[in-house]
Amino acid sequence: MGRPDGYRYLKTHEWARVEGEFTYIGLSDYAIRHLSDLVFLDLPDVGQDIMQNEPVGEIESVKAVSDLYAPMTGEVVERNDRLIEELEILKKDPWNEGWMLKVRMEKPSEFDNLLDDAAYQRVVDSSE
Amino acid sequence: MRYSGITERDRQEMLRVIGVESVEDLYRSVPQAVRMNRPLQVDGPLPEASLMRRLEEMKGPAPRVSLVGGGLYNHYVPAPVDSLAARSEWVTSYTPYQPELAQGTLVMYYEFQTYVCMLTGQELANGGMYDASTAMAEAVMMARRIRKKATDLYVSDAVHPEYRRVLDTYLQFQDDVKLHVLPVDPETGRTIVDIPTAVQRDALAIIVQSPNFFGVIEEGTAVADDAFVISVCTEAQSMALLDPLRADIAVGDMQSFGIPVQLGGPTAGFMAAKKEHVRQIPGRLVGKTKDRLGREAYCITLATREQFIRREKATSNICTSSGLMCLRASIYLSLLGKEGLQDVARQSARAAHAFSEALDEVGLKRVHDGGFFNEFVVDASARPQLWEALRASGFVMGIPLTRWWPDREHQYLVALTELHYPQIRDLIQEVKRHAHDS
Amino acid sequence: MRTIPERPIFELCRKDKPGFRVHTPDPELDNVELGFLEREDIGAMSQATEIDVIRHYTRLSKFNYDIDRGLYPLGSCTMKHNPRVNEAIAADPHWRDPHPLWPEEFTAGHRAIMEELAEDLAEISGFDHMSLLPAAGAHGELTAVFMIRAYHLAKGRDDKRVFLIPDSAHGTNPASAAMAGFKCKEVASGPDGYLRLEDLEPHLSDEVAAIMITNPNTLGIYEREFEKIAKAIHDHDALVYMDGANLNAFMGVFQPGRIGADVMHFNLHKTFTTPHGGGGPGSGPIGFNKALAPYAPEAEDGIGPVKAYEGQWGMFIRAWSYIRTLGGTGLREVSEEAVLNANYLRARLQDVLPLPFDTPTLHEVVFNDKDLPNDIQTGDVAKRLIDYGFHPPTVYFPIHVKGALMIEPTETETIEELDRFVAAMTAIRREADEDPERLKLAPHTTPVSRVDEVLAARSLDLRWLPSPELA
Repeated sequence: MGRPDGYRYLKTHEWARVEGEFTYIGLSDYAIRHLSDLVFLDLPDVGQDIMQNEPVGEIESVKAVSDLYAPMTGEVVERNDRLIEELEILKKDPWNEGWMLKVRMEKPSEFDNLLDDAAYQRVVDSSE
Repeated sequence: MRYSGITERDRQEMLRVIGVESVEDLYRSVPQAVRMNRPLQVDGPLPEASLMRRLEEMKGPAPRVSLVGGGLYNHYVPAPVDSLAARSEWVTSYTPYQPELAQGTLVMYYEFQTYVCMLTGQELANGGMYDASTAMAEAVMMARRIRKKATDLYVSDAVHPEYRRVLDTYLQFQDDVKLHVLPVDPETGRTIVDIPTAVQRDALAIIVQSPNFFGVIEEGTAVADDAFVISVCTEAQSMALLDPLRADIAVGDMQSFGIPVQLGGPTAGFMAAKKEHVRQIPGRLVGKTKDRLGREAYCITLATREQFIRREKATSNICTSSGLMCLRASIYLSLLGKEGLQDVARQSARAAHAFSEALDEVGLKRVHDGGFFNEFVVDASARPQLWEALRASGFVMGIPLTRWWPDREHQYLVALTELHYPQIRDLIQEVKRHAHDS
Repeated sequence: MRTIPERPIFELCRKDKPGFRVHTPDPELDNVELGFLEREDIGAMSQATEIDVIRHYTRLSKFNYDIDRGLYPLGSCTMKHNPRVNEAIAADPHWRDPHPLWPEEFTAGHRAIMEELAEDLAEISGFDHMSLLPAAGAHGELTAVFMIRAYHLAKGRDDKRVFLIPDSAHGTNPASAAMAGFKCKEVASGPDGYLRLEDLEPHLSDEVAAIMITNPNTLGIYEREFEKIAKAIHDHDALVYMDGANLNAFMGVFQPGRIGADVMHFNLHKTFTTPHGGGGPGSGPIGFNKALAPYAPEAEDGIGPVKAYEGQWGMFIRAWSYIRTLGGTGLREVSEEAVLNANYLRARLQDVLPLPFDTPTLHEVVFNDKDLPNDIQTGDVAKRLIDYGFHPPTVYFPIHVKGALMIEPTETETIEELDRFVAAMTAIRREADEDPERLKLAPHTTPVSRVDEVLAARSLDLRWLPSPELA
């Protein structure tokens, strides 16, 4: 599969990984592969509060715009502006370099509600 | 049937290939219960010359002279505009969804977008709207998307009254929007923006038209620098000579540029804005790109805002808009260029100013003292029979304002264009003659 | 087709070129004080000569495909012949120059024509009431959706906020509903391509305000459960909006207003031949019944005007002329021949391309790319058609059919043109087996080939700017 350890997922293909009191958020390789011709990424500003399962941004390709949903609740402390300028990074490395938001978690236990790798694999399998 | 492509023999052959006896068999999926049991009752069929005769019979009187504006202006349409715009390839082609077969239309939209930017001073313009009234309503919807929580909307009382009714229609179910009317100074005719700058800054938008519905140029109108402004322009020819208002969204009508009045439709509205709002703007956008072999090419872009992709989350539901009218405007502007445009605009303005002076000489004063381009309000109470007397002889000297403001008795909105310029002395003489009899 | 590119007119403009002049200057008049400071520049606008302009827009036009050239089988668009007599009539100054704010005696003839047109459309659709105001089909949808909201509001049922919309619907349907504050619930079409009441029933809640149906639908299939569905909708105190885009299939055959529809929009630029003009103008009058009449834009307590003035008069007079040219029996023949032509193409193409539904179709038919060899997609077939001298059909719509290819020839096509089209499709199908690359890189014969849409969306070059030397 190529997915790294320690990541958890929403069924809408967003991932989260925890580092101390923060979580990093991004989009899985599966989602990116299905969004050909990426054109634009709209993410919340630093300082904004986001809530688990609520839409927080949009990723746009030539043919479609998809909502991005927050895997975790908290405050955005950093945004990967370099990614917004160079969307190709998502195709190369959606797991590390392609991080989208760094969030200070408000409810760290939410991480347990997310899909683990095996559960996410089942989502991927049923989507094919 | 006149435009049919097939003959009876073709019909039989086609039915044979399909494998049915008659066309009725092709309608077998339509239940008998819903069928009409009588032929359609409409007029016709009329062969071409008979049709033309019928139309001649329906022609009524037309005014000899019309000084009627109020958002639509009879201007001279140069012969090359009509001739070029009548080409099949422009008239009968479709929306440019297949760019390989529509580079003509696409370049034209790119030009139109550019012309609107040049005229309005904005960075971004779309490929046209139905007209200015709907463009204004859509601008408010766009402002809502940009301004998020703001709900106080300020609209000048000097914005076209019919446009304001359209805005009311579009906003009628948005209960959170609070509409405030900005009053008009009865002497200058300009909008009074008597609200604190903090309130202006927090407002959803402030809508000002210039020249306004009374023809007055809204200069020096005290709108705060950081207020979100929607500007409206109905007489586009004024943009040739007047600097545009500072605005976040500029809307208006291109009708003055080679588009006949046609009872108000069709025309081409325009919408322009700051480039940062590109994802919120409705309507078509055409952009420059390359094809797979590196050649310069044009295509519809950011279609993800539009209905055929985004569906219920689209910026608007607009599909077909104004194509051929945008073409006419582009041809007109290309033909006249800056010099030609400023020249003809001066002719409109001079005709209007000369006429206003002449009216003044017979006791018909301008109601407002603010500057104007080609339209103004005259108070004819000194000669109460004049307008009717002129109308009876086919000379329509403007629009009675009582149509919208019952207390503005004997006030008429008078517009002149370059069409009146060569005959201005005759028009003035005629009015003065009637004025002495009134 | 012209192949040398034609760049925007600004490349031909120069400050020293003269620009068109309208009137001889009048020195006395030109002394009149204007009392305002003149604008110096209009962006970087300068001038082109008349010859530049004539050549430029003539050359540009030659890059366009158009109906006068050949078949335009765009499903859902009804690209039929645009009669020349309509253009001649519309160009007559008497019909071209009237002003809506003139005293009424000067526009009586125009209004009489509008009244007759409204009567014609009412007769065709079976609705007793009309509004000619909306500027395009989508605008008509918006008007109707607003009326529906006003209707429920007046009955104290503003909680009815759901619009049921089939998965086959045109994108303007949900977009229009959303603009009036409704939520859209998608209803799946049945396995044979038409809507079934049984699939609709689970969605029939008290919150439903209306359903938006196209009939025949975007697959060209008659909605055989229309009456049952309409009754079920009405039983839930909801309304039936009919998208009239496919009117070309059924004029004189059935009247939506008499079989359960409450309101319908017309596209004058589809069935009634007003020209498409490269993206408009259109005209979208609506017909509606007595229940909705109090909410019409023109009604005293109605929703109010959706547009200033009267509507798209320039299109009204063309449509009026077209209707009279054909008469009642002529209009019926239009629909019959539209259905005949489409079925002929279906019969001749059903062994060439995959046909997802066996169900009878009327004036249009949808194929797709299922199981085409060598990973050939609908888009490749469409682009290769261009090399054969045709505009492609509608592609990837309706969206619930993967790889949809929607073909609507209309009644104004000859059998020879239809046969040419079949020959081209047959050849392309063979190329899909024998020479797939040729399709994937098509078109090869146009001045530009497939465009880079990603570059367009990323660079967002939406207007000409002077290069530094020209500025």
